[in-house]
Amino acid sequence: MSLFVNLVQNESMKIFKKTGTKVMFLILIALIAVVGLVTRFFIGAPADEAADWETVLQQEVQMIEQQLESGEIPPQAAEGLQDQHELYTYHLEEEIEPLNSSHRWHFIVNNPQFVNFLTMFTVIIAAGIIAGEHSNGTIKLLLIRPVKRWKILLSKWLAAMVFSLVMLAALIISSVAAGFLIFGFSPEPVRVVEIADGSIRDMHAVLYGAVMYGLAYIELIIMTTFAFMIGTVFRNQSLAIGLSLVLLFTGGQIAYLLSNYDWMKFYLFANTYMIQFFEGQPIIEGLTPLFSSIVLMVYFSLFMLIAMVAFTKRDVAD
Amino acid sequence: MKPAIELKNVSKEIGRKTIIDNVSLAMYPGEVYGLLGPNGAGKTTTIRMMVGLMRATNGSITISGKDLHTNFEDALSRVGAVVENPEMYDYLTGYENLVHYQRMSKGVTKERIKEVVELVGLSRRIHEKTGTYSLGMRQRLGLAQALLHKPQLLILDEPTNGLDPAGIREIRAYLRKLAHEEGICVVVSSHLLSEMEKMCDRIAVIQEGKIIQVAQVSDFVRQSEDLWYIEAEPKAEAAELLHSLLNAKPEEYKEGFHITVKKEKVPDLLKGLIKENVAVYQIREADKNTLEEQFLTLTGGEKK
Repeated sequence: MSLFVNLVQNESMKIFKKTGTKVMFLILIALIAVVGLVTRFFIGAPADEAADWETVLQQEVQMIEQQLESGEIPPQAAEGLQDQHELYTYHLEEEIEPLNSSHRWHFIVNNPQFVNFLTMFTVIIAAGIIAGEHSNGTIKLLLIRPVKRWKILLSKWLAAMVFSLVMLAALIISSVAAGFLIFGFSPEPVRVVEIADGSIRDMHAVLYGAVMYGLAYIELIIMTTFAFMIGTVFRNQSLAIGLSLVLLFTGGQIAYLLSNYDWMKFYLFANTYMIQFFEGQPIIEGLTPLFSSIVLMVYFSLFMLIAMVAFTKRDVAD
Repeated sequence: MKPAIELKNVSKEIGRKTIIDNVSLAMYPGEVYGLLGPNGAGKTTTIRMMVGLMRATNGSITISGKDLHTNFEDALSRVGAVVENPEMYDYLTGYENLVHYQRMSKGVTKERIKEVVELVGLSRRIHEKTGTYSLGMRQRLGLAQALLHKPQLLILDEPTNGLDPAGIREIRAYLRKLAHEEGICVVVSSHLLSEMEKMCDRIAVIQEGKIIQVAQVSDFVRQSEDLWYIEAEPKAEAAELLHSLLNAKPEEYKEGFHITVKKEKVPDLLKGLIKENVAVYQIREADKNTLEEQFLTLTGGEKK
C-alpha cells in the first residue's frame, strides 16, 4: 500500500514540477479575475441599485399580470411568463433577494462553467501522462522497476485526478476570493431560487454551488479517462490531446443535433452533461439520472480496460 | 553456482520477422559479461527482454531462479539497468530523478541516494535540472539510478557512450570492481570490441539474432595473438605455399596475407618459403586493430 502511495506521489511530482502545469494555474486564476472584473464594471449594474429589489420585482409582477390578462401572448410564451410570475412571487413572499449578475454569489455559484477549463487542462495532463514518457524515452527506466505495470498505470490515472482536485480547489478558492474582493464583503447567507421541472426550488447558495461543481466534475472524470486511454493506446501525446479536446468541444453539439434519434441515448456526450438533470431539461427525452449513470459507468470501465490491456500487454520498443 | 540470469531458448518474433532466434545464455555472479554485436544484431532487444520491457515469444528468462513473467516483481527487485540512452525527466533535478526511483524500490534510504551520487561523482550538480546535463553526466546519473537499490544484476547498454576517456576508464574500473569484489553480475553491451576486451571477462558475440560465439576474453585475445601478417613475392606462389604449409588458406590483407600460426612455428614456416625462392619482405604480429577486423570477419562485416 505504501508503495502505491509512493507511486502516486511520484506521478504528482512529475505533473506539478512541469512549467506547463504552473502556467495552467496562472491562466485559470487570471481568467477568473478578468471575468469577475468585466462582470462587475462593464456588464453588471452597480450593486446599490439592488437595494430596491422589492419594488423592481413588484413592478415586474404587475407587468406580467397585465400581459397575461391582455390575452395577446402565444400559449408557449404565456407558460414562460407564468413560471416567471411564480418565481417572482416566491421571492417577494419569502423576502429573498434574487441573484442578479452583479451579486457576488451569482459570480461564485455560476463559476462551474470554468470546470470546462479545468476539464481541458486535466485532459491535456492525462493525455500526456503516459504518451509523454514514451516520447521522452523515460518509460524504459520507469518500467524496469519491481512494480507491476497495472499499478503504474493506476497511479498515473490517480495522479491526474489529484491534479484536477487541486485545480478544482484553486478554482473554488479564487472564485470565492474574487467574488468577495470584486463584489464586496458580506458573508450573509444567500439562497438560489429557480424553477426546475415546473416547480420552485429554493437552495442555499453553498449547497447549490456544490451540486453544480460536483455534476460538472463527472464530465471531467469521463473526458480525462478518455484522453488517458487514447494516450496509452497510441502513445502519442498530440493525438490524444487533439482528439479529446475536439470531442470535448463538439461532442455535446452532436448530442443536440441528433437528439431526435432514440439510440443517441447511448451516446457518451448525451450523458456526460449531468447538469442537465439538475436544470430539469435533459438533451434527449427519456434520459434519467440513473440511466446516464449506468451508461457513464460502462464507458468508464471500457476506457480503463482498454488502457490497462494496452499498457500491460504491449512491448516497449521505442 | 546459480546463474544471475539465464535465458533458455529465447526467441522474439515481431510480425513475421525473427529478431532473436533461439538464444540461450547464462550469466553468473562475479563476472562482467559482454554482449557484442554490430548495430541491429539484437543486443538491445535481448536486453529489453532481460528487463521485461519486451516479452519473449518463446523460451524463458529467469533472474536468480525467479521467472521474469510469472514473478515479475521479485525477479526485478535486484536488477538495475540502463537501456539505450539514459533518458531522465529533464524538468526534474538529478536528485529528484533519483528520489523518484528510490520510491519505487523497497528499502532504499535517502542516505543511499547521497552515497550513490558521490560514487558516480555528481555531488556538485545533483540539484540542477537534468535538462542541463551533458551526455556524460546523464550516463553517470543513469548508472546512479541503476545502483540505487544495490542490484545483484546490473545491465548496462553501451555504458561508456558519451563519456570522456577518463570517465570511461573510471566506469570500467568501477564495474570490474563491482563484479570481482562484490560478486555482482554485470552485463554490458557494445559494438566496440576494444572496449569489451578491456572491460569484460566473458563475451557473447551476437549477430542477426543468433549467438555465434561465447568465449572468455582471454581466449578471444590469445586467438588473435597467433595472427600474423606476412608480405612475400611472388604473391600467387606465396599464397599456394602458405596454404600447403599451414593447411589453411591465407587471407589476403593489404599487400600480403594474414595467417594464423603459433609463434614457435614461424621459423619453420619461413624456411619453407625461402627454400622455394619466395622473397619474404616482412613478417610481424598482426596489428592490434585487427582484433576489430577479426570481429568483423566473425560477424560478416558491416551490412551495406
